[in-house]
Amino acid sequence: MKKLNDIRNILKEAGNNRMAAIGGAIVILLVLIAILASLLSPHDPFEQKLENRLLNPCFEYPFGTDNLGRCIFSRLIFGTRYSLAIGVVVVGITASVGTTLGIVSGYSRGIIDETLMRIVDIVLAFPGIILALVIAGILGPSFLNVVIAISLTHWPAYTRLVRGITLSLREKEFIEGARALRASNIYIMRRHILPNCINPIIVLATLDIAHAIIFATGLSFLGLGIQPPTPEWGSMLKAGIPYFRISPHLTFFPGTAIMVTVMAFNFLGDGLRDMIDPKINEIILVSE
Amino acid sequence: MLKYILKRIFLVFFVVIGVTIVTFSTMHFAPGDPAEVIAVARYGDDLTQEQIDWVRVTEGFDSPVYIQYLKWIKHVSRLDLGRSLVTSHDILEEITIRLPATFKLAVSSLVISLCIAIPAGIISAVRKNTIIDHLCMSAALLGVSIPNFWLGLLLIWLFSLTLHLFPSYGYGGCEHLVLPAITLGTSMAAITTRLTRSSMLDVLNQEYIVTAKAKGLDEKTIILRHALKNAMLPVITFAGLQLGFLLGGAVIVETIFAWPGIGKLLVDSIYARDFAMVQGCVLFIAVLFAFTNLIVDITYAFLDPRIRYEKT
Repeated sequence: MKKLNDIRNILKEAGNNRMAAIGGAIVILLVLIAILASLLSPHDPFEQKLENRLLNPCFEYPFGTDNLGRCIFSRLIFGTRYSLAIGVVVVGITASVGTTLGIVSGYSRGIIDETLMRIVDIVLAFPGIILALVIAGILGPSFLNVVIAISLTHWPAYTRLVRGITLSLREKEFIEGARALRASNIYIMRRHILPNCINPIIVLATLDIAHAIIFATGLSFLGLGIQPPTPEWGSMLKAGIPYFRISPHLTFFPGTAIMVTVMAFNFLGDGLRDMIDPKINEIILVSE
Repeated sequence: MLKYILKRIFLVFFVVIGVTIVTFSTMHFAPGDPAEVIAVARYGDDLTQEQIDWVRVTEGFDSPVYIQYLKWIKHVSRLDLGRSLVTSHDILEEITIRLPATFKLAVSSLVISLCIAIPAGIISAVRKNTIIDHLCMSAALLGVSIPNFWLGLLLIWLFSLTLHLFPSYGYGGCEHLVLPAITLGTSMAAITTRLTRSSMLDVLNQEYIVTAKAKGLDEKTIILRHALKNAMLPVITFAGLQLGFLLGGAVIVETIFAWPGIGKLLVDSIYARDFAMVQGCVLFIAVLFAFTNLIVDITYAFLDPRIRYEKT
């Protein structure tokens, strides 16, 4: 029986790792596509050839052309840059700001903690995409404003996660030991608490990239994000809707690109989570 | 128990005040002169400086920010959210007209999601690491990864344009509800399935389940009578949160299917730069969300004896 369980565990581990491996491979591929976009794309993503408009996928245009005769394949390749950039920049900002606030909050407790947690409550009082939508709508559509809008709504997840970990760590003996040795608070936060938060943060950040990409493409889809003629996936999808009936390939390929990218990051994040610590499962699930 | 509830109520009160400040300042610090925005909405693009100044004085934009805020709060506390800049309809009235549509969509998609998620979650927990479990979890991961707008468009393409079964947009009979409800329901089911599975797994590892097994009870009784009740607690809480979330209007799905709910009202007002309406909608949505969360918390406290019997 024990042997059977062992085999099962190994198989499970392999299964999880395989998931992370598939996700990771797709992510690396996407990054390469984004970097080498100008080499890989067969056409100029902005070049309009009106005589070639609404072509179905063919040898010259693997994914067909859009209503202005632009190569959808090339536009998708360039679009990788925008989605990845938004995901990475947003998560870079939110993870560092959210983590800092979380450590400070959990470590200092008292009035600072109370204030920060109430601010978190207030931000989380706006459900889902609503706040991001309104901020983007007011600031006007641009890459920077999309980043601002999504960042402003995404940092509380990190603060809550990190605060929880910090609260449990600060009672531990090794922290008390450091304090007894007169280590400064900043030193303790940086050298003892932060390293213990890194693993869950990496998992949350990976899943958050997926989330940020959904938000960003959603905003462009509503016309409040990155604007045409920029080859961004969400705005390409929006632009394809009037031609949905006659040329569904205008929407099909950008939609699939978004889904595959989001799935890759979710695969990677899920796999990492199972590999690092299945216990943090719940925290992250709820914060989604 | 009472202390817990009072504390929750106090916190909600605090959050609501915070929400009004955020909502107010978002609109206030929006780029551009609010007086000019309102003047444009009122008199058209052909403006004179006198008209802008007139709006500034009559709307009170010349007084300090905190006075403007207090004035606004005074109106809001009397349930007066003001008038739309574009149509000059009463904002609260406009929102309440949209409520039934949003409510219908929210409840039906929640039902769909629970009908999928609870059985799927239980089966994958009970049959952990089997083919069924892997299938359910892969489907859930796919569901989490499909953006709403893309799933909605795929469903329109399949059921409306190809099979001609359901209308692709509009509001009216049940046939209009099917596609938007499925779109929202399935994507929510994905998260709920994962939650149900992990919650069920937690419970199945508890000692009282081991005892039940040792007593020789059959699996069905153990799962349905002993495990399910406890495993459902977090799921029900989560469903409550999702309902609050949905009542705020499923912005994207309502937009795709031209469903006349609060979410669509919000998006349309953003397009029209009707900031008064945006402000009203956001405030309404956030307050509604805060109160559903409060109700969920209190219900949870009643359902969970660990909180119910707490003496503190």
